[in-house]
Amino acid sequence: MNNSFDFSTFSRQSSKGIIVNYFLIFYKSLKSSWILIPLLFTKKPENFNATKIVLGIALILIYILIRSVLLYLNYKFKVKDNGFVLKHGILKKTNVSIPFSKIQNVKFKQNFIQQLINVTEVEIETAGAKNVEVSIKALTRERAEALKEVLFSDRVIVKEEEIETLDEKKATELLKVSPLELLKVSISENHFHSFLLLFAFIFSGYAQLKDVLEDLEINNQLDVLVEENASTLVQDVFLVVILVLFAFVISIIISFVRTFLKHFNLKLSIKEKALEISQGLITKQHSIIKKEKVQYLVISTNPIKKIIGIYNVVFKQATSGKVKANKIIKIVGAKFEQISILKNVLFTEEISREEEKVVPNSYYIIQMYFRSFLFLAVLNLVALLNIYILFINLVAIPLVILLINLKYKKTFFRLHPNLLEVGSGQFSTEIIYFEIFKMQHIKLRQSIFQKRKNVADIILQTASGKIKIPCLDKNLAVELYNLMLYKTEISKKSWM
Amino acid sequence: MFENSQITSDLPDIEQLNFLKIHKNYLWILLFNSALVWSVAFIGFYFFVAAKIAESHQKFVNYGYLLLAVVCVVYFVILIAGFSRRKYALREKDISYSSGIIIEKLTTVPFARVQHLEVDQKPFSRLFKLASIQIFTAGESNDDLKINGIPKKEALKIKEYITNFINE
Repeated sequence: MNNSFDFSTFSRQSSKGIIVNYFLIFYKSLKSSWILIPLLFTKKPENFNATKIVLGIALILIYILIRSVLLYLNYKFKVKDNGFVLKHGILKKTNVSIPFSKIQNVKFKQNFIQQLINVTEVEIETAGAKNVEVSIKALTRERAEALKEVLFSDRVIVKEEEIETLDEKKATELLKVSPLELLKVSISENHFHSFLLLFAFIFSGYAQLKDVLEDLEINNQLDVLVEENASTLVQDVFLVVILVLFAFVISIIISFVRTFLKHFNLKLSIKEKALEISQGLITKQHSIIKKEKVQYLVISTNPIKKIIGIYNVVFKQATSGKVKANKIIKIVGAKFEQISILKNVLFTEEISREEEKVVPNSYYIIQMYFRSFLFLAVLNLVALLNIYILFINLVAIPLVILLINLKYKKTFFRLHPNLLEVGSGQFSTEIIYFEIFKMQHIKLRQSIFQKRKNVADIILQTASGKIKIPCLDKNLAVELYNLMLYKTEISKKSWM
Repeated sequence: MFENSQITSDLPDIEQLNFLKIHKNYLWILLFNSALVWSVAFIGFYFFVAAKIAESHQKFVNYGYLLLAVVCVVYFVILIAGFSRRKYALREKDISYSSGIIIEKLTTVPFARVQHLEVDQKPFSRLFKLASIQIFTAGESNDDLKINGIPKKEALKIKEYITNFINE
C-alpha cells in the first residue's frame, strides 16, 4: 500500500486543477454560446469597436479564471469510516458521501489538456446515478493510484487473514489490442447502419442541391450537358451508384476513426477482485470494475469478425434509467481463448457446451412474420400516395424474410448450473452470460395468440436492463420461471 | 427438458399458487376514473373538432363520434372482463401479480431483491379504504410490480412483512 498520501483529512486536488477547470469552463461556455458569435460580425464595420470587444472577451476570461479558482478552492475530499466524502460547490454547497461498498467502478481519465500537464482525472461511479457522481479533475498519477487503493481497501479489511496473498496479487495482463488488430476491428464493424444513415443524408442533400440549382436556373445548362451523354434514368442510376460507394467509404472511415479514438491501446488486465481496462487515444480511459458488480456479460460478433476470430465484450453494470453511451464499458477485438479466460474469472464456473440448447417454439417465426406483415402493409398503404414506393417491396420483402430467419436461428438459451446463456441476433450474434441469482424480478407474458399455441415469453429484469427469451413452450417457460426464482431465493450472495 | 429435471419437479410451482383477487370495490374506482377520462375525451372532441368543422364536414363529425364510441365501448368491455384477471399471491419469499386479458402477464419479485416499497392511497381509494402497493427493484424502475386496489390493512401487512424480510 502506498502510505505517502494521507486521505483522512480534507484535501484539495492538485493545484493544476485550476488549469483543467479553466479550460473546462471555457469549453462549456463556448459550446453553449457559439451561436451568438456570428452576431458580433453582423454589425456594420463603422460600429465595430475593437477595444470594446477585446475588453468584453478579457472580462469573460477573467470571470472564468475567478470561477475556476473558486471551484478549485471549494473542492475538497477525504476518506472516512470506509467511505468517500466530498464537499464541493461555490454558492450551493454539496456534500456527497459514498460508502466503499457502493462504489461500482473507479475510472482514470486523461483528456488532451490533462495529458499535457500530466494529471489524471478520477471518476467514482455508483449504481444509483445516471451521471458520474464524483469526478476529481486533477490528481497526480501517484495520488490517483493511492486513492484507488484506498477506495478498494474494504476488501482488504474483510480478508485480513489473506494478506500475504494480497501482496502478490499482481495484475495479469489478459488482453492487449495492437493498432493493426484495431484496424481489423473497425473494418469488420457493422457498417450497414451508419451507411444507411449517411446515404439518406447525402441523398437528401443531393435533392436539395438539385432544388437550389433549379432555383438558380443553372439546371438548364446542366441538363443540356448531361443529356448529350445519356438519358436521365441512366444518369440517376449512375449517380446513385456513386453515392452508394461514397457513403460506404465514408462510413468505413467514420467507424475507423471512432474505434481508434475510443479503443486505442486497449489493455485488459485481471487483478484478484477486479478488472482493469485502459483505452483511448485523445481521452485515455482507465476503468476498474469489481468482478461482482458486473451484472452480465454480452459477447457479440458478426460473420466477418467471426472469420477473423474476434469478439466484442460489453460489461453490463447496474444502472438506473438509460445509460449514456460513454458509461458503457466495452472492449473490442478479444480472441476466443481470452473470452473463455474472462468467463472463468468472472463466473467461477466452468461453462460447458454439453448443456442442452433450448430453442423457441416454431410459433416464434410465425409471430415475427405476422408482425412484419403488418409493418409492410402499413408501408404499402403509404405507397398509395406514390406508386413508385411499391418498388421498396422488392428490397424489403427479401430483407425481412432473411432477418426473420436469421433471428429465429440465433435465438436460444442454455441453462448451466448457476448461469443462463441467452443467444440472440440477426446479422450479428450476441450471447449473454447472466448469473441467475442476480435476477431482480421475472415476468411471464402470453398474448391471446400465444395462448392458443400454448407458448409464452419470459422476461428477466436485471439491474442492467431486460433479457427476453421469446416464445417458449408454456410448460418449459413455467419450469424456467420456477427454477430462476428458486435459484435467486436460495442464494445468499449479494447481487452487487 | 432440463437435465436437472429431478430438482425442478420438486421446485415450488408458480402454477399452483393460491391467487387472491383484488377487492371488487376497486372496479367502481376504475370505472369512475375511466368514465372521467372518456367524458373529457368526448367533450374535447366536441369543442375542438366537432364545433369547428360541423358545418363543412357533418359526415366526418358523425364518423368521429362513432369511432370514439366504439373505442370507448371496447375499452370498457376489456376493463370489466380483465378485472377478474387482476390477482396477487404472497409466498414466503416472493410476491406475484398477474393481470391482463389480451396479454396475460405474471410478474414475481423475490423479497431479497426489493429496494424499497410504497403504499399509497388515492382520494377515491380512500373512500373505499383501498390502497395500492408498489414494489421497486434495481434497474429500470418503470416495469416493477404494482398492485392496485387491495384493502389498506392488507397492504400495510404486506409492507410490514416484506420490510421485516429485508431487514433480517
